[in-house]
Amino acid sequence: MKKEERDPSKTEPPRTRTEKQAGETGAPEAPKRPRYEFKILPVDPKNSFDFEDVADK
Amino acid sequence: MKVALIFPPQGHFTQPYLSLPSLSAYLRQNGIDEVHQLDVNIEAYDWFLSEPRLRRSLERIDARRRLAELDAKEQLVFSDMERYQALSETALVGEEVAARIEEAKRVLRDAGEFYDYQRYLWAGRTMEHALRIFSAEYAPTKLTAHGFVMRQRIERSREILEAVDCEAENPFLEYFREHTLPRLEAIDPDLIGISLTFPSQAIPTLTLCKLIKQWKPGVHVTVGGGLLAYTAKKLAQRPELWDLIDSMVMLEGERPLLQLCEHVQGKRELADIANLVYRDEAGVVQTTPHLAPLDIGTLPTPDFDGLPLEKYFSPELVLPLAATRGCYWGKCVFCTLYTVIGPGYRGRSIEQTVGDMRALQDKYGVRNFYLAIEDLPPDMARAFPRAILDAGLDVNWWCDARLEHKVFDKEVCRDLAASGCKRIAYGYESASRRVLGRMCKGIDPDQSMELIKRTHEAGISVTLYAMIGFPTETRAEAQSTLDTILAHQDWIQEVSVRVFYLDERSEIFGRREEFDIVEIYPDPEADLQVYYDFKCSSGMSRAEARQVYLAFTRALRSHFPVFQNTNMLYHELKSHYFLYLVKHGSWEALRANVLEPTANGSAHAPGETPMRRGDLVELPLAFDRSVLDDVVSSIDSATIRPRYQSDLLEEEDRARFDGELAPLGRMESTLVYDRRTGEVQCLSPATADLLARCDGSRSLEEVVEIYPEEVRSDARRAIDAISRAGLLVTASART
Repeated sequence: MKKEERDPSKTEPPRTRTEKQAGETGAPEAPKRPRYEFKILPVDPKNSFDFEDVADK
Repeated sequence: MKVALIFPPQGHFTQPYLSLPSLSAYLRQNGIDEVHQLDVNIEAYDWFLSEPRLRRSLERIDARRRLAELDAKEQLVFSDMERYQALSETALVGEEVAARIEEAKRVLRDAGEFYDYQRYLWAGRTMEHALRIFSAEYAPTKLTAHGFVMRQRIERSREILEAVDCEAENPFLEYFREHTLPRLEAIDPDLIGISLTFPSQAIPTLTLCKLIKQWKPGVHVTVGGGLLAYTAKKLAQRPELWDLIDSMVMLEGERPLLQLCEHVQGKRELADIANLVYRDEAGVVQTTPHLAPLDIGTLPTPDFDGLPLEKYFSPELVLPLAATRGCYWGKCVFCTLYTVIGPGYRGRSIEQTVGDMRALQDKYGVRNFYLAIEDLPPDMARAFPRAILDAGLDVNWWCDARLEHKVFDKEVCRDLAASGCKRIAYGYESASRRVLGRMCKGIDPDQSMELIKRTHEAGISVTLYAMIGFPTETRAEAQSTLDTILAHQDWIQEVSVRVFYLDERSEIFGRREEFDIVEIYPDPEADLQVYYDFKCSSGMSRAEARQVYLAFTRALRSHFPVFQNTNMLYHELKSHYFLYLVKHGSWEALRANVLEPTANGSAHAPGETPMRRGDLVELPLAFDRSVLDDVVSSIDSATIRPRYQSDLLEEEDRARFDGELAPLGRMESTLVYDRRTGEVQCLSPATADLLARCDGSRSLEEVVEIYPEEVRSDARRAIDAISRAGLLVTASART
């Protein structure tokens, strides 16, 4: 167990690339998601199957 | 006399089709001793889904470089997003998929592995990844397990001919040159016959014809098959066609093909060959008279010799067998399928069909049969099972049937099951008595459901064909079909649903005013058009029918075990669901043993130590792939512009979306590919960080405590979600 990492202030997730670039270039910040948005979704490129494709052969 | 018969891409890859074996058997029976059967479809899939070929794709696609170019953009327009999907998937999984594609094929072909459902799912997903990678090389061309489409519309002969020459987007030019022509050169046939059954075969067929004519201009090339019943006469009007082929055979092919052999041998004029379309020496297209349909009782058992039976992507052979040709009912006003092999309904005797099964079992050791018939006729439903049992045949089989409630009584259903019938696909179409009446289906919806119940209770898996958007059908009637199916889902295992198409050869087309069709929309450039968009003065509009269809399919995916997750993708492939039924004996056993216990992982309990699985592959992206997927999938090409059997967008629609849809701004995400399952997940940066912190050194509580108090409950739930996705193991599971 790494004790030092139990302090959230020291172990916040690293800044995103978008945030770094915005901060470093001084450009207006791109729209960004909340830092603690926990999202996980299966990738579905909508090309697995269509019921109609499957029906005909 | 050497004949080469070819089944061209694209058809299913799980079992052979019946056309070549039927023709080969007939030619051999009639003294043509050298008949070569080439299933170029399975050969092509086998090559495209191979390590050397996928590595060629990876090199040509150069996904990482092109993805980096997109990742450097400030925003992505719609067409960028489509490319982004293909490039990010290829960059993430390409190397692994190429390295393990042979293993995936082995799983599908090996009984020991195929029935291990987790291995099967991995193999199926790997094949799908591979097909998308291969397709990306030829974008926007798309080759899937179910279809092949190019940007060119197959309703337009000009576009088909354009596709035939398109090196950049037609994958079959290179394939045929490298693989098919050398085989034909070795055979050096006098006659080449190509079976053109499905629309997805149209472009590959003419591509192959062109290459054959470049190689050997003098060889007679003939094309026959179901698609030509719809399009041959129109296609014949295109002069360029006759540079690619010499003749087209209409309807059933046995006798015309034999007569073509006699023509090539100098014994018969083309004008004396029945059911033929050809161009005479004066350049005039000729159509010869049709013969009376064959008595199929005189035909030999199909001969599968010479086909690469070991190459189909199934662990056991499932052979097709036709006990009948045509449809004994033949009254449904929307249907033309039963006409493509000739007029009239004909059957082999039950003794002959049982004899065919025995002969094929003795010759190939096959136990599994697909009766490739329009519907199981009443006399056969009653007597066939007993004949199988009396013959002592140990077989499994499935077929389509009409919902004949007076025929399929309890005893018949029981006998069917006892004889090895594992699955029946019924033409259900609608729950509405009014709509069924207008279709001339000749079935009673209430009695149908009783019959479905009897079939299910006998231990036979029930598939229903359903149709949305029949002219005059209201939204309420379509909804009642869905509601009825859902209410009886315990008795129904699969539903095959489609939107109604107006087929110009159907009864309803000729009587369309009676069905309130007030307008049809011919495409002036589509000289091969068979299906028409139309407007109806009552019932749902076409767009509304499409929306109901999409809602229908969403409901099926959420309610039916076979369609949940990615199950449908693999099971609906012609043989696989059937083979799983055979393996487990019944639907109930299959569901209990296989479909229900498929969860990847489960939530972690307090005190456990979650650990990121070591075999994950991650790819950080500058854009949120899950948002991007939502945008791309929000565009339903069929709603925008119906294209028969193609979901590709037209270029002008794509250009419009590039201008009209809000571009996607940068927002990082991480793709995670699970090598064990073949699945890909998209993680937000916080979730990716959380996954990284689950390194096996901290308990669940310690991981959560890393985060500010106000988000700890979110973090806890996220760990559960990551765990359910199968990306974590517990420390106790560490090995």
